[in-house]
Amino acid sequence: MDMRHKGVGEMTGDTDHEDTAMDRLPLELLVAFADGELAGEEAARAAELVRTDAGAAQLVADMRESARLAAAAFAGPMNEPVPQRLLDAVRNSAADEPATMGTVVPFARRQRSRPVAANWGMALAASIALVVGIGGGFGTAQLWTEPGQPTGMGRHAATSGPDFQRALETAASGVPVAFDVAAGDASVEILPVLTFRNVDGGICREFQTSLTDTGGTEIGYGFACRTDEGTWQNELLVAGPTSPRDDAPDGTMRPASGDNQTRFREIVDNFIGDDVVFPDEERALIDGNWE
Amino acid sequence: MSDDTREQIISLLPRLRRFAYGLTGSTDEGDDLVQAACERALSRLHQWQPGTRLDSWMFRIAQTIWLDRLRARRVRGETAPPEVLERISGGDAAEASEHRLVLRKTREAMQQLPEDQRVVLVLVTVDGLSYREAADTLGVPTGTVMSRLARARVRLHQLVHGHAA
Repeated sequence: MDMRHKGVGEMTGDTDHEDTAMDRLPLELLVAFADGELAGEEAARAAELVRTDAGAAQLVADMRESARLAAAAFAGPMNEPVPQRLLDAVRNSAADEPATMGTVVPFARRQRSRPVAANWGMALAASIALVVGIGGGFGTAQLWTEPGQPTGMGRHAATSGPDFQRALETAASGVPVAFDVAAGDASVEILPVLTFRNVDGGICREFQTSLTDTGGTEIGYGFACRTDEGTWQNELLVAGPTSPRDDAPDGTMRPASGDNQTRFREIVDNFIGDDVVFPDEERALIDGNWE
Repeated sequence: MSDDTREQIISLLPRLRRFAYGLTGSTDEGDDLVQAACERALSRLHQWQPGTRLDSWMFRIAQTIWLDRLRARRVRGETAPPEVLERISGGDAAEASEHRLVLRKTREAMQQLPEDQRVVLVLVTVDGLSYREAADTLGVPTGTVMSRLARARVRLHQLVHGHAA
């Protein structure tokens, strides 16, 4: 059994503290000494510990070794060329500075509610097999209907009507809201998943939809941002897995596209700007009508 | 904007990639993080004070984005991302196989540290910042850097050498 670290446990502090140099814990002192971060009296104190205490000397040696290991373990990126996509991102991304206002993508500037990180998000979105809609202002409606899919009308109603608005406006993340659409021929469940602020500080919510009609159940992933007028506008909707009803005539199962969810979340992650809203704050926002 | 700033950011990319690799434990996820950080930085360039350190500012942006992603995963109830098959990078190729094993263990051990300890460890031991610089980058007192780093280093050593906690 290796006893070299006997005593280290007692030296380990378990709280952050900002105390003065004089009452520094021995462990912190020795690690800082190993890193060459000490001077004067503190350095002398540490050197004395190392000279008189075999455990302290071993600790300093171990700490130097682990620092070398950590540096070597992640050295890879320093020894290889930077991927082109990163260089392109730096050279081509729109910059927020008055001098270049005339040359940056005007669309992103004009639409203040649109997340600025759109460049990459759009490209990623395009790579998803079944993007059923992106951007509230265009493209959403005409892409709804697809052969063999649940009725377009139902889907459209599911994510644009007053019930959809109510779900995002009032339900906490993790709490599903169910309602009927298409005169009762279809039912919808909206499940808010995550609330966050985009790069403009606007509030957005990621949600999951589940639409069931005579054709079966279809899952969808989306996120919407709250407009200045107090409505929720879809930014992106992605089709998820679809399963037919048990008594559906042909019984064929569409392949589940779980991968779409992963990639959808990558997009959402890139729209997260200022922060992710935790449950307590979300509750307060809902109670205060998101103001 | 001055193309000069873009060039400065480009010259920081290797360090940013290494930093993000240390934070995320994966070069692919790390590069995604670097890209997001660059786009964020450029879109908020007016917030950077010329004369202050661009590297600290960029590290801070990357770390903020990373923390948001971790929080989003937690709120969504996602478990840790699926184990990414480690891409062998140029640096690894030159390593002797036994050494490689230890380095791999080190990378795995790093991912087991609490987030606040990991970022300090990466800034100081991987990027080589002084305690003062790391403290400035994170906006915390030097004493906090010291205590987090000490705990992280002991834990890292224990994990790599197979000690129990």
